[in-house]
Amino acid sequence: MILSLLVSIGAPLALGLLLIRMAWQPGLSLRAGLLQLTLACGLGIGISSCTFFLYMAKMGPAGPRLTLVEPVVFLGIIAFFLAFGRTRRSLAAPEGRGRSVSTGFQDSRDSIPKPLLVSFYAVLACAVAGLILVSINKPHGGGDALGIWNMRARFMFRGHELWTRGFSRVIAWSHPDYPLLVPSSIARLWTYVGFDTHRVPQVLSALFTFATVALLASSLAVLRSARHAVEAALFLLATAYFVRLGGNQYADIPMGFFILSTVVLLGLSEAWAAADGAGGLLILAGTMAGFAAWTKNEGMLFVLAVTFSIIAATLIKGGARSMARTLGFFLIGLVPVLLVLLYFKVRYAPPNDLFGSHNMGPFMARLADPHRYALIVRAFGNELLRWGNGLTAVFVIYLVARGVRSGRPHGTFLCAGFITLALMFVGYFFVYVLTPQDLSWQLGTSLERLFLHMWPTFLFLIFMIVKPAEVA
Amino acid sequence: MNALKLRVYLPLAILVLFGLYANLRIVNKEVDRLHGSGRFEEAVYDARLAPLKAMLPPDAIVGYVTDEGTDVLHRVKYFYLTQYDLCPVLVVRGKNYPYVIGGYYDIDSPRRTETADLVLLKDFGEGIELYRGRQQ
Repeated sequence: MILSLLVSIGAPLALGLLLIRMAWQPGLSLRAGLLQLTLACGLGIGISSCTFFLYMAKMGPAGPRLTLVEPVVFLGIIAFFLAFGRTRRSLAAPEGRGRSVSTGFQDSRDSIPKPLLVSFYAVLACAVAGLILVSINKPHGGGDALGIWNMRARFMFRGHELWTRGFSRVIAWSHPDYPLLVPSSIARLWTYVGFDTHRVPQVLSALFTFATVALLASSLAVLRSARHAVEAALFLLATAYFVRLGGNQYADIPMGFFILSTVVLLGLSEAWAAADGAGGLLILAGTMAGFAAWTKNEGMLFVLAVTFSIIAATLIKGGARSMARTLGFFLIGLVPVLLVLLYFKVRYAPPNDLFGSHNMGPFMARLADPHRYALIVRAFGNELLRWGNGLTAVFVIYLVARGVRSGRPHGTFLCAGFITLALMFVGYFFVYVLTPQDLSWQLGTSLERLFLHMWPTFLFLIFMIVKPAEVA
Repeated sequence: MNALKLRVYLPLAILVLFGLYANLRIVNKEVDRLHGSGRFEEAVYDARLAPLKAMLPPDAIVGYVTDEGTDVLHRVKYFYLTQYDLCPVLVVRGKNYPYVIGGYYDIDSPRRTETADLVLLKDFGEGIELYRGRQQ
């Protein structure tokens, strides 16, 4: 089982790594290597989940022949990108600038005090222990994992010819319209392993949890300094809810990972190619944004927000030509994943429980109800204040003590990143305004998770502008 | 320690202590749960449903009733577990189906009230029963 699991995770990881290397070849360093590896992890899992779903949709239930078909598909994807890379010279970061980050990003001093590093490993060890224990106590995951993600995976794996029953309206309580990145990845791994062991969703969730920490740390280590990396990762690990959801196998963790990946890739493309942006990295950013939408319905809001933000930020900072170029590359990566999502939504998914109704009367009534606004504002405020069981206070103390640096050497992607989060915040607000479900119940069961989608990216953006410790 | 160092290191010290506390709380709570009685509940439930699954056709839609007196979280959990274990059989709350599963968390509860009008096909023990439903 372990060998099958390693091969089934290793193959998409290798594919992802190859694609990342085609777009970005930094010099040899541990931090750049870790960043490439974590990005490859998400990219490979995302691609393999799409190909697995398409395989089932076109060829029926997956069996042993998947192991024959999948390598051919992966080689086809590599060949396509090789051919595309040859025709588009700008796919990779420009020659000469590809090996070092643009000026204005990294700090001049880059060292981590030993006590800080030791503390980081201590917190990391506790978080790993916590996640493992939650996983042991909830082998099938928490409520949503059991009732939505892992269950859909079971329909895909156990259903054979009946696998589409997992999208039946009869089990509307299980949200059969939700996208399939997580279920499809689990079912794919079960197909390789040969049986539906609970170890697979456990491993997948742990992978995404710690890949998010590694992505946050390695991206900041590459773009700012190792010290910023460790401090940001400490904030994420100190978020107990993040560790707990990882153990509970919720799809909100991969969702947060793909949002962070998108923004990190936008940052890398700007840092490595200054005003022009590296085309390959922008394509990958689009693909990662697509995977956010392929993970959860909320990901569509992110896609809209980040697309609008890219348009706005590049128009303001670089003009129409720069905007068209950046958006063009971004869409090349985004559209194929959205087409897979569209195919799923049109062919298999029942209407969404929040927006499936065509009756505009109640919709308008909810939109005009001031009590709903008051309730949501109060809930948002409370959530921000008590975020991470007191972590907000620690965060404020930290920011006040350190301050943010002046000057805007890398304005476009930071601007796009903050606009994206602001739009998501507003978007989530109006989802609550419009929801036909009981508002208090909906807020109580989902708000914290929605904030968690944005938290790793928020930390990344804030730590891009926090002053170095030496000059604080 | 001068003021500058204090400004740099104090917030970090608070963050590290907070991080350790937050994660050790999870560890502590989960260790307690590990030693509690609920740990193997799900595995036992899986095994309990196996003979029921063997009796149901894979393309069936079956009803599900439970003891309403049970704590709502347990009700939801066992309903989810039932559907999870019986895939690709579809499980729906209610009695208007050819087959109806009685899933009782509290095996001593007065459950017969919900299934009084149904014919019991098999009692699997430990609170799992299969009935002929209202709809044939």
